[in-house]
Amino acid sequence: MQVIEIISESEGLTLRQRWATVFVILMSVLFMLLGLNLRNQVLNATTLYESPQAGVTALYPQNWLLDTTGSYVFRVRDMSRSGFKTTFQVSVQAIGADAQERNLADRLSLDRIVTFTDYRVEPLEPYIFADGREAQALNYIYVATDASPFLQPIPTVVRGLDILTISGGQAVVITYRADANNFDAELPRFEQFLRQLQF
Amino acid sequence: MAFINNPRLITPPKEEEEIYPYRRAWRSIFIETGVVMGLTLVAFVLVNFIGITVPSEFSLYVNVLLAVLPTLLWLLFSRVPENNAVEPRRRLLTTFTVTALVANAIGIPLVNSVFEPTAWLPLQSDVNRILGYMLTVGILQEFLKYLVLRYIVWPDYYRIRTDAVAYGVATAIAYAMVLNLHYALANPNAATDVVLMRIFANLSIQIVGSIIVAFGLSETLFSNALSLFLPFMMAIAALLSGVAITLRASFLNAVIGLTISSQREIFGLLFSLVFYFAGMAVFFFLFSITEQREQDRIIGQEI
Repeated sequence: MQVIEIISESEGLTLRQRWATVFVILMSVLFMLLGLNLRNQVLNATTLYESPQAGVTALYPQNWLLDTTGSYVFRVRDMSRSGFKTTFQVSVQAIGADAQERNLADRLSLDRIVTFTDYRVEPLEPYIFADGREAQALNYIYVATDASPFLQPIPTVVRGLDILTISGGQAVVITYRADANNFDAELPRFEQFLRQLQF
Repeated sequence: MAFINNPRLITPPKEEEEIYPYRRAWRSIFIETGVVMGLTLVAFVLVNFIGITVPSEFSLYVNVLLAVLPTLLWLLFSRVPENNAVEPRRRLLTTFTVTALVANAIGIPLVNSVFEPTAWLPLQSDVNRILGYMLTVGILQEFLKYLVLRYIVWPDYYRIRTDAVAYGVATAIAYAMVLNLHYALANPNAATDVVLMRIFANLSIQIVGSIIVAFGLSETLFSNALSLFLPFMMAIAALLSGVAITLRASFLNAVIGLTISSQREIFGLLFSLVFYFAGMAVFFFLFSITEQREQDRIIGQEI
């Protein structure tokens, strides 16, 4: 019995076919780079916030919810996140003439220890702004529970970072809070927020 | 004139029917997707109208089984019949396996950790979402499937145009299987009808995308099409992936209202059905017409 081989050896691709392969690879890589660029544009897009009364100008992430009704200058939250909403907050507090960041940190800790569940604070660390101004960084953790008991939420461990500085005779507290699992991932965004913050 | 009286010439000689030596790829695809589609509709009726649900302790196993169902159907209706074909297609299983491995090792991790579409696309406008999904998930999926085809079977194992369909569908089924398994394992308590709808949605997006790229590959090989034709087809496949992901989510999402609202599953399913049939009809027609033209050209040359 004779076996007839149907598949012939590849006769080699034509120039058009070779170029088609090259173009497909180039186009796909280009598209993916465009996709990454689009992603970065969206993720890093910001909205301007100005408060002439407090002397604060900030660029906060686009689509975050702005809130100016509390005891702070402003607060923005990422409402698209499930669970604890990542928060940036700027507040200004009156202090004594000879007060230091250390005193401010103690006062914040004393306030929070009675309002936050399982509040734990780490030692103060020095922090330097992009323009060279000195500040103190206060790291802490606590357990947050959703306000609505009907949702039967599981408590979330929240990590927080306060940047404490004294400017123009008043204390400025810049706060970053996020779910402990997302804290490191969101930190670059907060650092960008800090770089663009003017007060 | 003796031949006039020859009784053998009164009846024209019976022409023997030509045996088609290849497995009919289109028929297999329509059977496989038809079964998944039918099961999805049955599950929708059973869960939503009759109230039959899978007990929660078995739901994970059932969901995983459903996730691999298209693969089982593909093995049954596509791979096994190749053994009985006069001229079987080789490397179908290799193509399938490599695509599944590539999807799991490169495709899904790249989407989840680099492109992260869920972190930035859901709040965008529809146009931005279509473009976003096209330039991330869509192009990545089609490119990976193309690379598998390009370096395993194309062009050496392509003998006829429907070979492109058969190999393309093998990559589509493999990629969809990995996506479906990830979904089933991440949502162990999901309802059976919801899982089946997601499975069919993934399957339709993957198959339509692969068929479009398959058309590009077959035209590039058999018609020596312009060099830009294949990338153009790939761009269309990626765009349609973006359109399908975006619009399905839009149809599926619950409307905001004062009363309790839930996802409109049936709209998502209807969209997937329309997307699948429209895509398949267009490219079935294009494959048929190019095949017909090729045959006409050959007949013309012979005459």
